[in-house]
Amino acid sequence: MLNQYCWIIPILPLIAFLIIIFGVYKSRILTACTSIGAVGIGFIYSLLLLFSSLSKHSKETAGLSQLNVNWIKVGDFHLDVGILVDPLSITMLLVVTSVSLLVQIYSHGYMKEDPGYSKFFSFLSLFTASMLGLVISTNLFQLYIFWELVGLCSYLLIGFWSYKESAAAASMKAFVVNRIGDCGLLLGILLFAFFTQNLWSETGFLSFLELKAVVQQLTSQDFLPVAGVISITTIALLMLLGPMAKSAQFPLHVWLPDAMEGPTPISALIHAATMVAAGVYLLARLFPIYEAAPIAMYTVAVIGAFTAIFSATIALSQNDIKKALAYSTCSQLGYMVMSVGLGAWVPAMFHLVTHAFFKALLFLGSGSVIHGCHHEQDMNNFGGLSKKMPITNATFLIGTIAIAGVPPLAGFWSKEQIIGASWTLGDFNWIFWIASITAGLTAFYMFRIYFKTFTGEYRGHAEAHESPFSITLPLLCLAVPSILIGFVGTHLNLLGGDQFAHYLNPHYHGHSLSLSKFIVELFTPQAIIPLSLSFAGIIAAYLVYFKKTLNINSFIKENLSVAHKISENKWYVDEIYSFLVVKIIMPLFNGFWFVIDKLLIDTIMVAGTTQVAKISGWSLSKVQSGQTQTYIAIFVLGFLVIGALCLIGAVFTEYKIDAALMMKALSLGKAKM
Amino acid sequence: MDFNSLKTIVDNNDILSVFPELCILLSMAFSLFISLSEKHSKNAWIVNTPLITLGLSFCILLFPQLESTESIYSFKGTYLTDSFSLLLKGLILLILLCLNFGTATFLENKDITSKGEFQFLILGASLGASFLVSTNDLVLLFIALETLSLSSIALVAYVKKDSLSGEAGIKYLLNGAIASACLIFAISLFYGIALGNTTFSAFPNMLLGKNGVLFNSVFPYIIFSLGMSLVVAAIAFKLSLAPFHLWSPDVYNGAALPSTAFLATVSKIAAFGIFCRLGWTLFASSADSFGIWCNIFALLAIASMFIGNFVGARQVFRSRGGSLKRLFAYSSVAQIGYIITGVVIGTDWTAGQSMFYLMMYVIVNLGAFLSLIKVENWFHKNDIKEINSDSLDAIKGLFKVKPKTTIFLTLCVGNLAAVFPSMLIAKLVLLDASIHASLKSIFPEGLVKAFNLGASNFAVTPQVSLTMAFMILFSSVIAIFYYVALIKKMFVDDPHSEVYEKAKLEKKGTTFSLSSTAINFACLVLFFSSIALSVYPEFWIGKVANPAAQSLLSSGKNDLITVLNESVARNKEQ
Repeated sequence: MLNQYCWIIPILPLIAFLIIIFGVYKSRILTACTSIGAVGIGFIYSLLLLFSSLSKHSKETAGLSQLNVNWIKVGDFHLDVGILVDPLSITMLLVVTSVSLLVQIYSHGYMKEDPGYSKFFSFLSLFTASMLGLVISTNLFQLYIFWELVGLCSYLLIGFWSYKESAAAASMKAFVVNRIGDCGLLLGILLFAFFTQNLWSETGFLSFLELKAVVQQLTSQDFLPVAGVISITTIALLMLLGPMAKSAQFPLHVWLPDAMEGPTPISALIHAATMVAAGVYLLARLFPIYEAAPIAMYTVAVIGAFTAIFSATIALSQNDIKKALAYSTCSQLGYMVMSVGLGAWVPAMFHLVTHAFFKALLFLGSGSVIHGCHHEQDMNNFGGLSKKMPITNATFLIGTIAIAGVPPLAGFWSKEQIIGASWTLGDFNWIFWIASITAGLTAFYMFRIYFKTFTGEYRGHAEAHESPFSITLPLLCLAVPSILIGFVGTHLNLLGGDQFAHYLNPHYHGHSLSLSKFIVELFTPQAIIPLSLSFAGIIAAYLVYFKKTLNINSFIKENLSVAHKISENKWYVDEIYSFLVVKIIMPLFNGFWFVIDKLLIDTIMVAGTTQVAKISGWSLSKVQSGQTQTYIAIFVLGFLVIGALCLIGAVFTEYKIDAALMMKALSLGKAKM
Repeated sequence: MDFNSLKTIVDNNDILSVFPELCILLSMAFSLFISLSEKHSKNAWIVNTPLITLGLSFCILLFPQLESTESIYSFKGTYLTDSFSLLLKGLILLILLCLNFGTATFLENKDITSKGEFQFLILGASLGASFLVSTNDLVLLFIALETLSLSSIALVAYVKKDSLSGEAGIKYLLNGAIASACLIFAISLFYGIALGNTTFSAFPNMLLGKNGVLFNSVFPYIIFSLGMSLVVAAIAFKLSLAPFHLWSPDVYNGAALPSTAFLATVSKIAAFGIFCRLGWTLFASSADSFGIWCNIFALLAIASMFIGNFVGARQVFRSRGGSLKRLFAYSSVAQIGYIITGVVIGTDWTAGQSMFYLMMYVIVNLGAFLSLIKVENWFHKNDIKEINSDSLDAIKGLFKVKPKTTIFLTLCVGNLAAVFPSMLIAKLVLLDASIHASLKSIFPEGLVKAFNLGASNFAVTPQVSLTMAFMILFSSVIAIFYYVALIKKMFVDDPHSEVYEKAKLEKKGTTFSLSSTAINFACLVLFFSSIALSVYPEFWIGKVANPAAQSLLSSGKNDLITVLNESVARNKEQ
């Protein structure tokens, strides 16, 4: 019952969007109420869904329901739409609605002075609607529609201050990079649909629930099982491009740091908590495909691992607080992608949930700092804000500890599970080492941000002040899950033991541990190495940026100038891209453009068709003389032609509609004779 | 008697089966009565509204109660109520309702003395149209068609002071007279062959002869061919299929906008109804005659798509700006070609697609005309003399002058061009079907059998349907050109200087006016109808259009089977 109507959740923000742009955009308070109210109802509905599915869960019904209908039917081909409510989508619904609700409350304070206040809220509502539609989509085709819609909203919101040249450029960059990924995803979906056309049920074309059975059928087809594996690998690799662009994985990560040109609430909602995680969500949904294609799966793991450490090294040297957090987001998304690639999609989803809360908290905290310091983003101009902004300071510190992986805060539990999963590839394998080192780097750069911003002397010029209540309230609200949310997925049987994994995957056989065993487990190498590296990172940051025992600037100049330069310039990826585009791709495609577009299409096809249309239209219109006698003459002529055709109708009659009836009639005639 | 079901009531009362027509008749009486009063005559639409709504709700309520294979006969079998007639009747009434709202604005502006009679004529024509879609008898067919035609002629010639209007009326009258003559001659021939019967049910008799023999001599075959070609010419004239379309650009051009809107929608629905009914009951009684009928109309459809779109595109090329009404006339010639495609392919599911296409077409077409009425009204109110409100220049830069109307018009025109989903899907299905029907001519027979290509029985021959598929593709491209040219004119071009000046002078605060509220309401109704059809097309095709098409097919089949049984029995007696 509750499940059947869950399409209400995405519809409400869509209605709010329409109400705002067509109705109440003149009143700020009504705009905020409409938008926040819509997503608030969605949040409550999602909570109800969660409780109902939890109570059903124990009765082995798995809280699963789907509703599919044919949308378009052309001959044998059909496209379907519907809703799918299962633990995975309920989890995502909760994450999206809760973060979106808090961010919208926050935006009310943050955007108060902005002239585009109502526009901002309407876009936020549209984004929320698309993102919620994405997570309850029942098949790949429907997901792709919403995938594009969230991309559009992201574009609109990055370029929200489009009068700033950098913002306009950043939105364009995000759009173009995402096109590359979406193109791959679309090709993958089309190829998959082509190979599996006849394997789906009547209303379940490309649906997620049938995915596993269909992939098995595809790979185990009687003719050439090898070909099935090759095609599924191709499909998986093409589809990977979509999550790579959306979740900012190397080498398509370049748009995410630039996307910080958008307003800070957007960075928190879209570019940290929800939309960028959609890639991970899609990978989790498509897990059966990757399971059947080991090469593609390994590629996923490698890309994730590389992105994790690569972005972490860049985050070490960024001075813009939002850019540093953006690279941190890339790195954490790398963890999740890596985890899916290792076959552990449940820990990936777990990290997605915890990360959504503490990263939203960190971004909103940074927004509070930026707001309090009058739109200053450079960390060199912060310092000593802990006294001036006590609430922001406390909540930001909680977020920092959570992401650094200090037990028992949220980040620790999920990160530990991912690193534990990497152990499955073999003891002390290279992915494990990369993940562990990244954990250390994460702790270091996050505390670097914290110390540089909140401790020491204030280095800025403008008068800093604490933000208003509508900004600090979401911070306080987000601090709670940042501390506690990790406990839902812990192995500790004190707290239920692997609740989250069991919820997502009823067939999951986890190992819940008692407290004493858990402590013993903590001292196995796969747990103690990343943990101690994290603490080392924290201590190093403490010594360098708080105690200042080491003069960091001169130290870098003497020993690490090359490495620092590479890190500060983001490994020169942007420069390499612009070189490739300007020097190689543009000249090549200019040639293509001239031959194909200019000569073939424009000159021959377009102009040719116009001429044909012009000439035939002109000659046909000569008949239209306005003289009734001409019209009647043509009428009679037409009638004569039709009469002739009727008389020699035998040319048409070789095709019988009702042959039996004809035979009957003929036999009746013979009987008479 | 079970009074809970509307169906049972209708089944038992002949009078109730013509309930929608009674509603129209009653509102005709009211509008005639109101037109006596000089002061109130322009408000006849207010009285008509509840009655038309009543008729519409009758159709909507009865539709789901009928099985798709069920038909209710009344008035001694001359009048037929089934899903098909209910669907078309519902469409007619919906269009009539919106047109009713739209005419109020038109009547306010023109210098017309007797305003109530305009409503009266529209209602009268609709009455004919409404009878036409559920007629089961040749005499009723002729009377209904004449009711429709004569009222339409008066409508076209309504603006007496406009010489173009009078010219159009005369042209329509002369051309229409020939078509009517053709039809009545054909009816007399059929009456002769069918041995004095006029109901459609008697027609299998006509084909099978007195003793159930199919054309046992040459003479009846010639008579039959003559009758058939006369009927085809008459119906093609009503549908304005090429080459019988020549009257339509002139008549559309001369008539006032609401009359043109009527001709392009209600008249088309009625003609489509009688076209399907005759084809699928009368000529479908033997495979041969059905094949001939389908193929001939397929050829006409191909010609219509070609001529309609190419000559229509010419309006845009014209240096001094073509006429909008002429453009829509040619567009309707082409569109009717698309609409009948599904019917002439000859299977019930393609006919269902055709009906969906028709539903969408009349809604967006009326929407386009109502927008044009609004534009004309605005021109009239602001006394703009330099450009004619009918020329293509009039809508230049319309977005800067009337943004809401422009967006609505864009929606309608975009749908006509089939670039928006619902009509695109309908067109895609028709294309798919015609390609399937033509597969036999492309692939060798062995391959067709092996891969089950073109497995269904299509009435149309492969060669014709191949041409049709190509023509759908090719002419759609040309069509998109001129429809998008309209959209480009509205959004990209700058408005005419005089229009722009007047628009700037216009007061911001709008005064309330009943007639403009009415036309806006009509636009809103059409807007939501087209959105509802676009968002979930499969529902409308599966639940509304396909049952209607099936009922059409089954009513023909049922008749044939009864007649065959009768003739078998008669043979045994002998």
